[in-house]
Amino acid sequence: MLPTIRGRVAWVFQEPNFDIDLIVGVDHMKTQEIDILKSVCMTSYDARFPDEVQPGDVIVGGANFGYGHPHYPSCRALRALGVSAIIAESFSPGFYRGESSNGFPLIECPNVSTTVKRWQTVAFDWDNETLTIAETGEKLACQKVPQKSKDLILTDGIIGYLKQVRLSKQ
Amino acid sequence: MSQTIAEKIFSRIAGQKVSAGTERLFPPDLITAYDYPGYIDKYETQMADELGITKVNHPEKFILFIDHLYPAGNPKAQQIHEITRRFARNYGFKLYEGDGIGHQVISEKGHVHPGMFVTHFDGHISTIGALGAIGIGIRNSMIEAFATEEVSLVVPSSVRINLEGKLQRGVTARDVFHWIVRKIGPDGCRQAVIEYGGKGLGSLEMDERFTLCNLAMFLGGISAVMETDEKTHAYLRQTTGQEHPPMAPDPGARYEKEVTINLSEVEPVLVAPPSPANTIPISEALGVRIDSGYIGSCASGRIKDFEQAVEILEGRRVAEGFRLNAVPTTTAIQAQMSELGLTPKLIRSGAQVHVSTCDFCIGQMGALTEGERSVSTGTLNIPGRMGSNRAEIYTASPYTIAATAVHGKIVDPRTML
Ligand code: SF4
Repeated sequence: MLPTIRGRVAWVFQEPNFDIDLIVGVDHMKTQEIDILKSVCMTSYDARFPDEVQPGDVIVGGANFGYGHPHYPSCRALRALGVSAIIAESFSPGFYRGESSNGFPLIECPNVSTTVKRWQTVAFDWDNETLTIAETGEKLACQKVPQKSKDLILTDGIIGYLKQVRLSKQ
Repeated sequence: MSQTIAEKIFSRIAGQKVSAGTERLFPPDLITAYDYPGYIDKYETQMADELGITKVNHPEKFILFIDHLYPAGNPKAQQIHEITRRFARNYGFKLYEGDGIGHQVISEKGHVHPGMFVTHFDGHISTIGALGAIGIGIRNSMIEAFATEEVSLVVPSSVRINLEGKLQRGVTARDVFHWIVRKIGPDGCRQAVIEYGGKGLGSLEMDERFTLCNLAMFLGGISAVMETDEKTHAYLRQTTGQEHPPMAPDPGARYEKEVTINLSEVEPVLVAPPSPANTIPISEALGVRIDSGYIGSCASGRIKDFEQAVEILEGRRVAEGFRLNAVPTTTAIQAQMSELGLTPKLIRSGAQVHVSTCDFCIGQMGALTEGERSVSTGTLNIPGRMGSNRAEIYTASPYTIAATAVHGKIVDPRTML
């Protein structure tokens, strides 16, 4: 079953073309230690972020989120802190491919960054591809999630996907 | 139904008409990768240990390159090269080592034909679009290509860029690309294939076309492809020894949007730190003090780029204390530079001419230290890309870099031509 995405909005990035590397900072592009990555995650936006974030929270992004030359540590840090999905106006293609291959739910939802507020609770409905804001009841239509992305989430990333979906058929 | 070039290519591979939005598996014509820690060494482990695959069905489809960390500066780099060689040997893959940067070597060596679909983990494989082929960087789903020889893709839509007119003196393909970024935004072609065509394309040399296609990702493009013309086919005759039918979209093909760029209006632009989205006209950066310059990379280290640099540098000297690194994209280009007399001219002006390698683009060589500033034809200007996180990188055209090298500060090259 696809994971339930229902959680607080831990941060809203409204800026377009957001460079994902800024989440842990360029000094940590090569950092592997997950505890360090967790401790610096988002701290240039909110110093208390690693303490405030809770499992199930989501990050909201603007248009072309992940633009540039995205590296993997930022999303590793977000996931390790329990962030369950990124919901953005749209994603940069390289970022989308890289992180969906890691089995990370990335949902494209036009208008999300100007509609939801930090700490509101949102829920994503996989069947109807809509995002509901719990506090207001407002529903936002999202883009269709490609089947491959769903398979990658279900199988926990590319290696699981290859084993369970692709190579098992051969 | 009328088709874009991308739809034609993916329809040919699918064996049936497919249009933008269709999600399915496509077997790439070529599967390519280069040596780098965390890539080929990881694929080797994933293939053999995690997936138990010791043999592929079509080894002839695979090409590996040793172009990073080259020549090896330490035993660790040599170890990565050795893993790359072993991986190629064990699976029967073609390997190019020391021929230069793979994104260009692949075309020079005649592997690319119009209509091909090529994958790599690195998006700059879009360079081959200049030959009417589509190269897509699929990042960590490369293991899917290695393990299954197929990749799942949603057939991309296309953005049509019509080029008109001719470039003014002192203006280059680099300027054209970043001019387009300024005009339609860094997400102006998001998730689409950029399809270049129009009369103005004919005025651009192959070297310039490779540059335009190489940078596709900074318009949000998934790749880029160009219509072919007599120049393309002359190049292909040399590299492949074959004739190919022309590659063009059908009249009436559907595009996400169409943009017209008049080349004669383009002026020199720079990409200012810290992001490739940050394009500014040169007038806003004039006089900025600069410590080093780099002409090279898979985007811009071809004959045309060095001819432009030499136009400025001939009879002049690089400023005292300024480091100018000239790095041919491939060894074939390096040889041609010598034959054309470009190498001695660069050297006499005070530039350093180096072996073909990626290493200047990633700060492995010619690195910057804290507080320094560089002008570069590398692909990226993010902090840390060429050394210290506290150094600044402006990307610019070879003309602008040469002019800047002479003065030690950013200068409009048109004033020196
Ligand atoms: S030249 Fe730079 S951008 Fe191109 S492949 Fe090498 S490192 Fe990457």
